Amino acid sequence: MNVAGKTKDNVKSRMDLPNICDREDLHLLANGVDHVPIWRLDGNMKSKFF
Amino acid sequence: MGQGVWVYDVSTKTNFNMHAILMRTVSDFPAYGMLSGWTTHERLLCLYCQDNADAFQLRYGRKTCWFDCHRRFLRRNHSYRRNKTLFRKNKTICDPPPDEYYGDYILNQFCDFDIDRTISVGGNGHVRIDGYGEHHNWHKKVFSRIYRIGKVIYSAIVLTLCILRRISLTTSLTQF
Repeated sequence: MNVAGKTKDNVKSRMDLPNICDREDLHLLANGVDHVPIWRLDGNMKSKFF
Repeated sequence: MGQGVWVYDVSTKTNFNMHAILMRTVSDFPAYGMLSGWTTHERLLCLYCQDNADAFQLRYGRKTCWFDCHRRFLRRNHSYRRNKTLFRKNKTICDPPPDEYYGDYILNQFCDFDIDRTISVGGNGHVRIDGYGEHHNWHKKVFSRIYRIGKVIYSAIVLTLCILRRISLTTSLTQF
């Protein structure tokens, strides 16, 4: 859902990932940008869901 | 179990000696903390693992994390134990599961303190016992009298005895 302030998928949790998790597609990029994870719904999918 | 309590039976109009045993309780985790005397917060929250918990601190998120604490419960040759990608990165688990603690062991832990009511510790361990949060999470003693517990009885069952003591105050538990 990616609700601001509610989601736990934030920058700090992504910063922790390289130490404990081997899924490189979820790690932050060198310029601090994160990939969009496969579970995040975009606007279109959200409206379908509701 | 024990001596029982002398009670009256209305239907037959006789007295009889009543024995009671509490087999188990079902509660959520916060209530489990209140009943057991073991605080179910922070790094040592698990009463079964005690100070063998594998919890670690997230460096950036700054929270305590129990991720991947349970692979050691798998059988020794399970393929997940050797997996370095699906769980914690580059980590294999060789450790056996933590020991199951027996009644005598639990009783030994209580030899240093004598607090058996939550109110005496300012409510859930605000007056801390030595080593709290480092080696143990006891905030109070779960029962104040010494019961002899057979070696086959696990700590979980021992802990339920404390509840029995609170329910039937006159019941005197002596020996299994």
